[in-house]
Amino acid sequence: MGKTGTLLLVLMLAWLAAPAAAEEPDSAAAWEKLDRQYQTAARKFIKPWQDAKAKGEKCELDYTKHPSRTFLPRFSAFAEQYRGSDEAVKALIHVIRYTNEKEERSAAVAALIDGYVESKAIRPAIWILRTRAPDTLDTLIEKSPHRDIQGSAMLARAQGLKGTDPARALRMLKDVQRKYTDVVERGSTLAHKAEREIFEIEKLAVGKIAPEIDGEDLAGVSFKLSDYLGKVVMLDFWGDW
Amino acid sequence: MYPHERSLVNRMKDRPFALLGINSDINRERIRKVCEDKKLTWRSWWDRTTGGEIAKHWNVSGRPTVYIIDHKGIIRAKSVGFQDFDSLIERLVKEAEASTRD
Repeated sequence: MGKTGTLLLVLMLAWLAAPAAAEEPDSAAAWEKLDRQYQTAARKFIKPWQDAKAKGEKCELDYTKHPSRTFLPRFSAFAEQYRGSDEAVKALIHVIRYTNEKEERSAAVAALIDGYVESKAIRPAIWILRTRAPDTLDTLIEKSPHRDIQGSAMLARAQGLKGTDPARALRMLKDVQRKYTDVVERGSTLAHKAEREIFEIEKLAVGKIAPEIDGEDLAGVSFKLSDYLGKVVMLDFWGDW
Repeated sequence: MYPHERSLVNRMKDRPFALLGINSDINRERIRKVCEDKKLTWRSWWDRTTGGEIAKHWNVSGRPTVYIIDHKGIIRAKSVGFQDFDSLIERLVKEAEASTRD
């Protein structure tokens, strides 16, 4: 068989193996397109504000018309059309993150948990679920087959509970340290993150003595928090942006 | 945030109260200029980045994060995000003033 013949055979086999791919674009390409349109729209939306700021002027934007909101139906439709794909998970995360409609959110959360609880792609949802639907993290801890997801979900659940139920949060954090100590999340281990949380619950709670702060001020002069004993102090962690 | 803090600091002038910041801006010169321009007269530690040593030690996950500490150094309230602590501060400052009269 000549070179041309081999090529033809390969092409024919490829066509036979993936007939569906020829009918619609695959989920990755479709996601890239939708995401690009969304990013472009978001940049366009914010531009009048940026222009005004550059001129030292003020400009009020109507954030109910921000693309994160106006694109919601498109992200929902995408999740439906490409159901089962990793990109559908991304689309559902967007909906859960940005919608203000309770029903729309619960539907997306249900679709995510019912359809993708065992998927590795669900990991970025953890930080959104932490504030939007914290109970569902319990399902992830229980049903995900992936250790890194179980561990991150447990840490996130504890972070959400530390204000309301510090005793339960503390138990979960000790569990994270015991079972998921080596799992890495965004650059540091869960053991380390859990340790910071435990420190906050045990040492930075209302009723505890504030730890010392010793450092330089904006002019480079050293000073300490304890210099202010005898005064009421409002400590403000801030940045100008 | 700034106007509220400015008026709090002005109101509490000559009373046992201090607003102290932990600033996370990377550029120290820029932030000094912001303080000058916007008349932010209170003192701040410079923590260099949002992941600075002080913020890490205090496990700060969002800004603003605020702690209210009484005259004995005990944490009395905290919040992530803006919360109006004016009435609590007034009460604690009165406590501090009463303790120095004894």
